[in-house]
Amino acid sequence: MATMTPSRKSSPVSWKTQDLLVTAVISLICGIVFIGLSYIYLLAISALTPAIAGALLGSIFILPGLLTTYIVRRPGVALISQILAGLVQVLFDPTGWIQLVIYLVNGLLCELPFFVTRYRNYRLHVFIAAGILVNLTFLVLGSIGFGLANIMPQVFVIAALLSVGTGILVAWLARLFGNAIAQTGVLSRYAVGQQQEEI
Amino acid sequence: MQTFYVETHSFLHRLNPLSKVLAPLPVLLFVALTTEPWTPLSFIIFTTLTILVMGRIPPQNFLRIAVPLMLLMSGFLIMYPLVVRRELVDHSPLLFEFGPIAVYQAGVVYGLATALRIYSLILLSLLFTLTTDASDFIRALVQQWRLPYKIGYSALAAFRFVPMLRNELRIIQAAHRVRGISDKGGLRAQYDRAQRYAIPLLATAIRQAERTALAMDGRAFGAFETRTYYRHFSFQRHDIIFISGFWLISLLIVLALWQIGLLGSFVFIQEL
Repeated sequence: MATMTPSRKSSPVSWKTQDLLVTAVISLICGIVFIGLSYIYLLAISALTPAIAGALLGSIFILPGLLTTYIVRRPGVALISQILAGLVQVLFDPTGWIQLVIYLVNGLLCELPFFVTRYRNYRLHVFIAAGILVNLTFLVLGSIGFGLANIMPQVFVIAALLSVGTGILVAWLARLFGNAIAQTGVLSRYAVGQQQEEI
Repeated sequence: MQTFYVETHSFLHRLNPLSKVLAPLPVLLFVALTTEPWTPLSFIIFTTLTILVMGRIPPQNFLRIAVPLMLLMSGFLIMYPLVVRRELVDHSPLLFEFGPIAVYQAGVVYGLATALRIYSLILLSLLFTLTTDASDFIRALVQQWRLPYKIGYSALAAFRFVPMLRNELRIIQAAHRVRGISDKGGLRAQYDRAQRYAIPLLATAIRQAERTALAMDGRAFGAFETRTYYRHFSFQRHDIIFISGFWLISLLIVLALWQIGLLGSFVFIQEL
């Protein structure tokens, strides 16, 4: 037993447990809301075609990634948060593990703009870039999976425009939520909370 | 909150959770690329039989989930014929025309094929959902596919928050009612209420998470690289038999469809 020493940089996630758990509960709450939302999404897919449905509702599913990034501000938080929200879907969604894969891809895309800016820039436009990136990628992926290539080009253009709009909207929403939570004072350990106190 | 896991003893339940992901995976990718209704239809039948026979899921449980999902899919039949590209379908008989709207037979078949395709993808994943305990899935991911255990166990810890959160929501509702905020119906009020509840709920959850994190730290969570497990997950003989059997039967189905000429072109090389 004497040889077992606690490691300084333990495992791939060398995070404080607190940060991890805060990320986990935010993802959990978003994940629970998404259970209901994913049925609406499925209905929208079948009623409005996947392109329009994805453009309208798709980007809301990266809210946990953006919100936790805004609060915790650590490399990888968006990805981890999306994985955790995806694991909630494994519990409560009929398509279980497929959702997890989709959330994982979402998380990677969401992480990308912050990675490119070396995790130093947490301004609004980086969040917007993440939102739009996710939306447009899924529009392209959807054209393979759902056979969108056979849809009228007009529908496709409308979907692309809507995607940009909702991408901006979800970025704005994430920051709105982040600031609102910070006002309650529970985030005083984090940069957002300290900003609020200065105001 | 209702999970879809049905607790019985069956061959599918005894399998490693990951083999129920691996077995349908190539089939999923293949079906996603098909364009005619026959391939999805045959896999819908195959998967349903697997779930009912090998998973011993009571048929009424299965139908309670499968039928509503099928109804959701019917939207494709209505919408797709209207938005499909005209030049792809106008060689087929015109079913009806109303002003600028024209519905061709090929368009309807296309809608049907899409609906069936997505439905078969849902059923293929339902094979997993109905017979797998999500906690076991996370444990297997941690042990076999190297999901960092800190993430896996954070998820398991977070799952335990669900009853607490429900309780907390009730308290917030009561607090609002006591202060005289009316609980009227209507979409607008619904939206306002969601907004009023979200922030306090998130705030208490974060506070609770920090306390839980301290408790976990106190028990040396994440202090060591490796950890020991109470339940071990690995691929065993019945997993390999199941995966190879599933792949073999799927391959036979595809070959049979190809032989009778029902296997159409794929997404990339499509002519309707």
